[in-house]
Amino acid sequence: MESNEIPHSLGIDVFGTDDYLTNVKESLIYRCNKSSKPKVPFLITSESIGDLSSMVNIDIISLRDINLKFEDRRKLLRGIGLEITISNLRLTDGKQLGKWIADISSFYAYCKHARFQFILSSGATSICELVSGRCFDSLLKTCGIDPISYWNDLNGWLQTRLIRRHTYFA
Amino acid sequence: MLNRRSKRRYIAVRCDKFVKADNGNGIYNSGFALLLTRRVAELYGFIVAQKSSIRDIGNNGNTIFVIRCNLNFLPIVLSAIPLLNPPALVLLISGTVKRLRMNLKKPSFQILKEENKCRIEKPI
Repeated sequence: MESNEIPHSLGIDVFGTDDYLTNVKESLIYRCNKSSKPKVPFLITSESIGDLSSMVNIDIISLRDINLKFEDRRKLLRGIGLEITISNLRLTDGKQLGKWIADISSFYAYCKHARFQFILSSGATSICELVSGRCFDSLLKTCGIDPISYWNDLNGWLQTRLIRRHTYFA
Repeated sequence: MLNRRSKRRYIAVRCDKFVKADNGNGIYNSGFALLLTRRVAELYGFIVAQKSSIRDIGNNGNTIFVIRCNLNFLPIVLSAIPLLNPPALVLLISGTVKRLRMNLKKPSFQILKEENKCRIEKPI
């Protein structure tokens, strides 16, 4: 299957994947854990804030909990992407989900204030777990985030990071 | 005063792991709408859940479910679908069932309709 056909149907222009696909095209960004040098656009991701002390070139930190400790907040570097996945929320009940939605707008405001990039991700491991563009927009609106400014910010951040990475490894 | 019927939208959803309800007709009453109504009620309350009038329209007997909802509550329904367990993917939204089924036959959606065609990891 042509991998670049998925985002177009779902209203998503670019999406990241852990799998190194041979038929990868412009619409895919490779997510890796180490500073390898693949021939495709890539970003370095980590699930631990502690990795920031050992690795300086991390682009995205995947967070399980949006309530960060004070020590963790101090470790974060300006311009880094903080990712929150929707897949973790599916198993939660209505009460926890409501709390998450209530908290996310303040977390977004914190990210804006501290110049971190807020990233809402599907965290999908199969096609069925993907989230379409319209659903993302509706979810962002529910969380009190303007979808247009969110996507513009994310696009700008992504371009900056990819250009930086390209020049760094050139 | 004109008594106009509220507009509706038809949504095609792919859900692989959903187990259909045993009671009633399996095609027109799969139970998917009930699952979604429950999630909407959890998030937005029972009044909104009832006003959104989510209904089962049909499914292809496999993984694609067609549901109907009130147009005014479409953003609410769309925000609840990604938070469903088992996970569900919105394929298409249309104003009529006829148009929805026509669009689903397009090649780009045929790929998404097919089960286990490919595996992907952590999309942004």
